[in-house]
Amino acid sequence: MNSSFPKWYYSTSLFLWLLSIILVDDFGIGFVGLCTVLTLWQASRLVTKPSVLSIRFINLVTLLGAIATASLIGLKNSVNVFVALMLVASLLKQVHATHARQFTQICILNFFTYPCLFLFTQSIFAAFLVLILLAVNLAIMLNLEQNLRFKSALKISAKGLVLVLPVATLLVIFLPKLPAFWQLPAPQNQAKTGLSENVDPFNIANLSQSSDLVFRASFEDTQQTGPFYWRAIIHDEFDGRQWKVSEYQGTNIRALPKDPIGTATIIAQPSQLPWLYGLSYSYSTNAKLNSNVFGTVYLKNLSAKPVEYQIDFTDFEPQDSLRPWYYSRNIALPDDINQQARQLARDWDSQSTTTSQFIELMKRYFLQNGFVYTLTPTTTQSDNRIDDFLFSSFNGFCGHYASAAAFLLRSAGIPARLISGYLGGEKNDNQGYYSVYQYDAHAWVEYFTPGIGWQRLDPTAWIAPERMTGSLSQLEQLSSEFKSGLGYSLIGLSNWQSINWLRLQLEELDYQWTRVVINFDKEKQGALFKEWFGSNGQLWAGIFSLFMLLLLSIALFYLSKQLTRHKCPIELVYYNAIVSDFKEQLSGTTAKQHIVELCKLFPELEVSLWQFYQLIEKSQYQQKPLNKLELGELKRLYKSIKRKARK
Amino acid sequence: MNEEIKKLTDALSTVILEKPEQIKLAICSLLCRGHLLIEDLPGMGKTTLSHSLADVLGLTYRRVQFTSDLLPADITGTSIFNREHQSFEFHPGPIFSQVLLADEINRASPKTQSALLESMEEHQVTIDGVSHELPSPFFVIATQNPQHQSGTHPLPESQLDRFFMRISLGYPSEIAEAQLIKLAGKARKLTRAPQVIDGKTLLAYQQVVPNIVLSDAIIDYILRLVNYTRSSGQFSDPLSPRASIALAAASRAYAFISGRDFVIPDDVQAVFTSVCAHRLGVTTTNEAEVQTQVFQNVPVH
Amino acid sequence: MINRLKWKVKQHIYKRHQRSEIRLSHNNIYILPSKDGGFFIAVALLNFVLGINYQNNLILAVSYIMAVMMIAALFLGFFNLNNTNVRYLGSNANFSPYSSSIRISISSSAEIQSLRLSSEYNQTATHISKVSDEKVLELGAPELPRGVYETGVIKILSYFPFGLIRTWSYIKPNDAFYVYPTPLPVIDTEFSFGSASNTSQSIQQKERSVEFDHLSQYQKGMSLSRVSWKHYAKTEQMLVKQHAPESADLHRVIFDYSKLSGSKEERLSKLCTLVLDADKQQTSYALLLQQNRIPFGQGETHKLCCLEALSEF
Repeated sequence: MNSSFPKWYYSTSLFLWLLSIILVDDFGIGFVGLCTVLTLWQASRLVTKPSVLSIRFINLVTLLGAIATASLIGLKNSVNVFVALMLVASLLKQVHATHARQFTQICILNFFTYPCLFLFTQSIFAAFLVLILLAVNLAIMLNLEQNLRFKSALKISAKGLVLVLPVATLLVIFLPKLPAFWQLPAPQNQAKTGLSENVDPFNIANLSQSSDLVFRASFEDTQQTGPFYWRAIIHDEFDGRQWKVSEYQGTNIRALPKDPIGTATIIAQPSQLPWLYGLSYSYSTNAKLNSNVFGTVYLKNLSAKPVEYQIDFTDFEPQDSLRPWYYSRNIALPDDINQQARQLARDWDSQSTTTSQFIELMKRYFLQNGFVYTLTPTTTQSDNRIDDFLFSSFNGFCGHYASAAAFLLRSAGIPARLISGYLGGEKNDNQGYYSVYQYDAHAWVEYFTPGIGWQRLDPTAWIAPERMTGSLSQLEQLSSEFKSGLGYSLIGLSNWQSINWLRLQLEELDYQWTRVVINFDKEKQGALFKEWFGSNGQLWAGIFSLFMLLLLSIALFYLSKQLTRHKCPIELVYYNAIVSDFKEQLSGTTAKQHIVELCKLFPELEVSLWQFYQLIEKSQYQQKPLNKLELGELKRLYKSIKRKARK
Repeated sequence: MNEEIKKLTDALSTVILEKPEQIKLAICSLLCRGHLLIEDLPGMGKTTLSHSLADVLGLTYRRVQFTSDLLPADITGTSIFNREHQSFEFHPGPIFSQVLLADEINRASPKTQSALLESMEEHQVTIDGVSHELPSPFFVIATQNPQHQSGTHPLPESQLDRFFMRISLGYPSEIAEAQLIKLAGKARKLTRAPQVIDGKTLLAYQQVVPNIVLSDAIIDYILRLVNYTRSSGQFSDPLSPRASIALAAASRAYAFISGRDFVIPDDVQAVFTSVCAHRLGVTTTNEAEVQTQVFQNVPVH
Repeated sequence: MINRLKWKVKQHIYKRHQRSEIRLSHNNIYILPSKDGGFFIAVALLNFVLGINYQNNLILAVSYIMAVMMIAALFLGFFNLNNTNVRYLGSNANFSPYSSSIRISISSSAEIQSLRLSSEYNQTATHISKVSDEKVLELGAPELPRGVYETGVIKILSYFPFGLIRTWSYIKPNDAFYVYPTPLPVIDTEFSFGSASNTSQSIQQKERSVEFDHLSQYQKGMSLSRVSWKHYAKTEQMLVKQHAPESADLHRVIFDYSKLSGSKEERLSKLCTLVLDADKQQTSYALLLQQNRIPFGQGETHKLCCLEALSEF
């Protein structure tokens, strides 16, 4: 029964399987296994002569598939389960589809299943993939109705989609952006490497490096120079093992500061944490965002797609003192641990009179004891992990240094907190934006000085000052260590110039895609209209879009008329136009007879009519295709005959 | 018009007055090595036309008047015992000529008719197990009276198909008839058409005709015409592929006569009725009506 | 109620299609989304809602693509059928259990894709994937009992191009087709028609007693005694009874309905066999169906006339 459809129809199964593989991070390996089994079943049915499946059997399999899907993904992720069920349903329906109509329904269903990929990823590649899948889908629908070959069906459907695409784009641009009707649960992304709310660097043997993009930033004032410390999470509580995220991370500021020193636009990739990225003291007026007391911003609701927002940033305000409760919070340390470090801090404290002197002593200590920056530090499980770092291992990455420095500061009674975020970024010279990747993650310290306020201190910079400028990827010293940690990705091959160039080009394309396509929202639409149509933008845009719709439907009308018309050589088109214009069409009359009659009607046109006939005769009866010159001549004659005869 | 052919038609026109189309069609048939059936009432010049055709082409010519008691052997010939040589000797019948005029073919019995048509098709005569090759070119011009005349055996459809074309002359115009009356008393010599070309030239022409360009547009047109007869449901005997081949060949010959090396739809239309009417089972009287109907329903382009 | 309304609307629509030839154009082509098209629209709407709610431009774009596709399908579907000439050619009658058929010619200067034709008597549509120039189709009407049937409404339907749009039209030729009775073997010995002359003669004997042959137009000078006054009373037509000549040749038979045994259908079936056999043997025969008389005759037309009379009876 199955073999009644052409084999290429079943590429759909393969595509659905491919989707499940692409979404393996979200759906888990178990679900991919399920899809693989179903696809293999389909394949085996294609190869062998399959029996017709009974409805009861199909229902049972469907039920089992649904249960398996739900249990593999977990009902909590309602969106994930829903999309996964759609995939399984589509796969199963193909296994037992026997009628053309059933396959049509599968194809229509796929118009929903394929775009579901966009819920999880909206990269340009996903868009491209979905477009291809839809083209094949459409080709199947065409083929079900007319007997076409695979190639010609695909050609037509691809052509059609390419024609429709600009129309759809225009519609996206011009149709008003409706607000969401209701809140739908967001698809839950599996945690990716990145920042964590609690920092325990001593537990990490090998800092895993990921080349995943975190965010891109561009400055209004292109003269901004680094180093850029992108603050994301403030950790102000140390329990001896890890630095915990501040309880006030989610506390919003009431009044926004007045005069920013700079503005940046940031497009942040989706993350499992709401905390976003800012510079110095940042705040945002974006409706989706909150600005907190620490001068960082965070999302009101997690988003599955990249978020674009603008931040204004200023320097920290000078503060004379901290409130007592807050002061004690920022010097609090657990008792009885790291006694050596405490002792060291007390020693420095007695040797110095100001905080900067204290820091100077700390810097000297780090530099004199041969501390090393490494991505593969010595791990420790002991309670006195900072002692171990300061007095025995002497190696670590940013987390170690920041953690130790903050501990030392607090031990001396100086309010200090740990900040995690990102440092630097790779600058794209063409577009002037910075790309920040996961491997740019960084941790540093902020300490409070009465009268000055909060100040940044990056102890890692003492050990590895190159780390301050530019991205980790551009760091020569650590490159081999860095790359071995990355695994397989394009950036690992950045030594080859052409590949690096390609990587940068793709990067740029993705930036534009994210900026222009994915984040085209109501505000951007409004801004665009304003730019194009002036202050009454909305109104004019409405009129313009109506006008365009009209134009489009007229174009569509003529296009489809053209498509269904018999393909007629241009010579005959001219001939028919002349003949049908001036006399009623007698279908049995030959060209010559027509010309003779026309000569009687328009004696003054005799010469051109006969010239016209000669050319028609040559192309149609002598089987000699007209060259360009003759075609031009034919067109000229056609026009002149038409014009003169009209008079 | 082709110069040589023009001479031919001119020569024929002196004998058959004011019938240029019919003359052209007859020549067409000759150029395609096809046999010709002339259907008309008695006394319309059927015989004169066939006679003159043989004359202008310089071909040997025999005439057989078909009657109901005519036997096949009367046409093909018989073996007669020769006493001197003590053996049978073959005496060829009138069919052994380059042009055979079978006058009033529908008067003969079906047996005789089929003997003639068989040799027309096979280009040879077999008597007593010996095959005798017919001369080349071999060309039969058969005349017949319209079917409703009494005492006739109509040719069956399958045998009508053997004739490449069927033409009818029709009544002459008044002027032409007046001239005919004037000429009537004179000796046949004066009214005879002179020889214009010889057999070799004819053969050369026959070889040129298939090289006339028949474009795809024309083939399409021919196919549309043929398909119309098959699909319209108005013809009891739609056109066979043999008919479409004949139509194409005749159109080529007509184009050649008109001095072109390619076929135009006008050629197809000119030969359509003569080639197709008898195959469609349409009588001479209905021809014109059918022609208009077919042409109106089949677009040229 | 709804069914009645539906029926009324349909009759109204059919009225416009009561022709034996129709050129499809904007005022006689009907277009609606098919069931699958409805599903497609629902999916497009779902995509739209999803795109709006997730503020996802790409899903939104897909839903717009689907919308434009649907509109394009409307146009394509319309132009596919537009300017098509549909002509009713006639019907082919057949014997009862076999399928009689209606002949339809479809022609167009452009190519028509994927057509489905169905008649009232055969709902399963005949599917043609492509028509260029002209095509003649036979629509079967299977398993009909003997009788005369109105040709009825013939539906021309296409799901071109994606199966999302139903484009259709009708043609309702004012004609009928015949389904002849099933030929049944005649067991009644006296009426079994064969070449044996004695049976023929026995028929002949009976025929002589009838003597009557057929009616013909009255002409001046004919005996008034032979006028069929019954006919005159009914139709005011002066018809004259023609009597069979005494020396009727042996190859003439009358098949009389009333002389056969069996139910009505059985008798007709038997008559059908008799007519066919007689035609095969080139016998001249007449048919007597109670009031309806078909005079002696021979040949194809006569046979058809008799068979049609049998179907009509």
